[in-house]
Amino acid sequence: MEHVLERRPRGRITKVEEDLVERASAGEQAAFDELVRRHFARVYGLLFRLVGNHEDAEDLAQESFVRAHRSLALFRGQSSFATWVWRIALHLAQDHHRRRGVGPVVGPLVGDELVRGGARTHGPSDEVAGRELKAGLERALERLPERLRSALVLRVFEGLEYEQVARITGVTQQTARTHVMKARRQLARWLEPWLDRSDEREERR
Amino acid sequence: MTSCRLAKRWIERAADGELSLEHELRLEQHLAHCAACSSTRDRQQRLEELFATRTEPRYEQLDIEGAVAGVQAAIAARPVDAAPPLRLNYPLRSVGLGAAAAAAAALWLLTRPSNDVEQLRDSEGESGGELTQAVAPPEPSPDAVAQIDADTSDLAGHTNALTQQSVERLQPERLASVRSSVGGWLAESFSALQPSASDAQLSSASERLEERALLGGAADWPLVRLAEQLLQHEDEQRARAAALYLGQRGDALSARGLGRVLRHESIAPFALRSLIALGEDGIDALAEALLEPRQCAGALDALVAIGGESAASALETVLADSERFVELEHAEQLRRALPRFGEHGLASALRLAARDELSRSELRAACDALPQAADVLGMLVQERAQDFEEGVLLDAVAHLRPAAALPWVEERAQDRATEAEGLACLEQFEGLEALRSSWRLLDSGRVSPRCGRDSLHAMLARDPERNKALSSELLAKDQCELAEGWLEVLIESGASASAPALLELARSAALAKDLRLLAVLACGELGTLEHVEQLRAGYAQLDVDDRRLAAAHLVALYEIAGEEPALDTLGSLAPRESSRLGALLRQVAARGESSVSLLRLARELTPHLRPTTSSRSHS
Repeated sequence: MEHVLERRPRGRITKVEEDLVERASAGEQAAFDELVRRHFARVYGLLFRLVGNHEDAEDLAQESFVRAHRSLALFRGQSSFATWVWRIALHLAQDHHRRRGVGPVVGPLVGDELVRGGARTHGPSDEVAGRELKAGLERALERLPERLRSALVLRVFEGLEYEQVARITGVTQQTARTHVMKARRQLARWLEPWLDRSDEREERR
Repeated sequence: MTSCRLAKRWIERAADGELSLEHELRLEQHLAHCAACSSTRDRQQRLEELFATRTEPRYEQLDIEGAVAGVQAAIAARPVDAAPPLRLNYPLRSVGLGAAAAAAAALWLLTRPSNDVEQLRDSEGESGGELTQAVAPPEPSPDAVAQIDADTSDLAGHTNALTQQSVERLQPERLASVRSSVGGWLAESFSALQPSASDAQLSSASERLEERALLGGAADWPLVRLAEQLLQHEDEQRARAAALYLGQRGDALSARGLGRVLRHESIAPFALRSLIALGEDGIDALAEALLEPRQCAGALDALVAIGGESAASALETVLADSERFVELEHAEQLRRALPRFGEHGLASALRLAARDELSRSELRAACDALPQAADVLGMLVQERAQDFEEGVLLDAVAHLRPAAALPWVEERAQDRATEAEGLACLEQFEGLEALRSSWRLLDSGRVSPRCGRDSLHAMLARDPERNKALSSELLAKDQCELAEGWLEVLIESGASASAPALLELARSAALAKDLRLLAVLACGELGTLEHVEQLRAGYAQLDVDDRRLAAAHLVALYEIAGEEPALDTLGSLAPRESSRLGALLRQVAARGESSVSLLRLARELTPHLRPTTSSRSHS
């Protein structure tokens, strides 16, 4: 749990970080390098959870910092540097998603896929079923509308408070709550066939 | 007894780690005897377990120094001038009190007499930011500032750097004297000013006070902090003056002080006026006041006056906090206030309804109370539909029927998860566009046949003129191939309201005669006495070439009105002829759609019909 807390972008700009940002804004490359060192892993972690693979997450994390460097003049210290760079990362992940052409779908496509996948899970191997289900979850996450996916990832997988989710996604806290709730409901709806089948499996045992 | 609806809400909150212990216990009690909710909870837990199985990021494979070098290289390869400007999806938002306090502090810095404060800087705390002052003023102010800030610290819980330094503290008598002077100047400058005073009057009173303080040798005294202390003064005139002054020069810290005096009825109007003037800085204090029944009305008015998303959000937060909300006697009053916040209030109502904090009937009432609600809702649907739960949004859309929302409703109807709600919503819309949309959804197979047909039939039963208009549109656009499908739908609907649309199709020469015949006969089955004249008018336009159609018109008239009115259409008939045609009509009616009988009838009608258009032109 500690690592999750550590990864949270904190609201307060610490003095050291404030100095680093100021120096980086003034053109000091070493200060910006230090900011990259401090935040790269966190940004990569978020991107991994958003795009689902190491290589893309690493590339996008790098791009996030390049863009942050280019836009340092826009950073007014109203939020922490971490929150700001996370917001850039989120934006890049959304672009990446759009480029890959995985858009929102109409109809329970994912549900259907899972029903078909789920039918195979009646076989002997729970391991196979688990793998298929994980793949199904990834597909379902990919098909969630971007704003819902971002809010869910930040809240559930990054463990952020709603206040932070709201800051990063640029909505009010209440809207962030609604996005997470809708994402959960949508996933539950899409994955319902499997979730119910788990019931049966447990009963059979 | 906990309802299943409430239990479902708690299950969701529990999954989010936001359920209180008390509610958790009540939920467990409910689950012990409710199999349905228990199963919902199990599914929810399985989903959370599934989340936990997601692959973790591969931190161990990260090469941070490599990444730093990569970033450096990329920056070098793309000079800033050549780079396109960064466009963020989201605006760089203010993050609450921190920024606001900084702005207020900057204002104070600009308006205060100079050389008393060396450094004033903002910092963003976890809870929204605090104001920190490092003060090194000349005599006599350092003591005053230190003492005053120490005394005021309970207002904001902030610490002053000076209090940790070895500064001689101001004697209580001296502080009382300073405060008394400022109180006197305040009362003098703001005398006779009421909460209804204009901004210009208040601004000029503030300037009078500051000028008076300057003349009195108090240029370095922090008037805002002193005014905060004077809010609690037993002399009401001074307290009111202080309240008004804080509206002009105060900041986020002052707002909390103003919030505290809202309980004093005689000062509350002055404090409210100033909280409104403080804008976003005043919202938190007003939100607190919403919880107090006696302060609620004033706080609501003030929040409405401030307006905007943050003000609406403050009310929404109070309403969404069910643990406090349940206890509130004036909850109803708060819910009714949502429409006063316009677009943002409606957005809040939609979110609250999604979480069952607002019932659907309360949501509809909120919609009804909002001026131009349909336009506002249409805009929300077009721009922010994703921010709301579909079921709730569909409910509101079905209630208000904004035309702008129609494409979204159509989209929802095509989504199997929301098909039924989407179609039910579409059904509620007036106008040709909605009917066209419903029919096309069915015709193109984008909705399930049964649901689509039921919904379309419900629409067809409502508005005969609209049905007729769609027939006319199809014929005008020369879409005869579509008209055939439309004819089938009209016949299947079994609604008398479909009759005018059928007659419209029957009148069109562009349509195949068989289809026209079918339309007329169907009109006979579905029509009522009010369609008799239309059928007669249709018959009058036919000529000899249309004798089968003419026969169908007679049969339709016979079906609707009986033998006599049907034969009356033919004008005066000899008794024998009348009897023969009557018998034929009865035969046709008895045999249903027998074409033999219909042909016989058509032959009999030949003498009664006009010559064909072509033969008339020859003659």
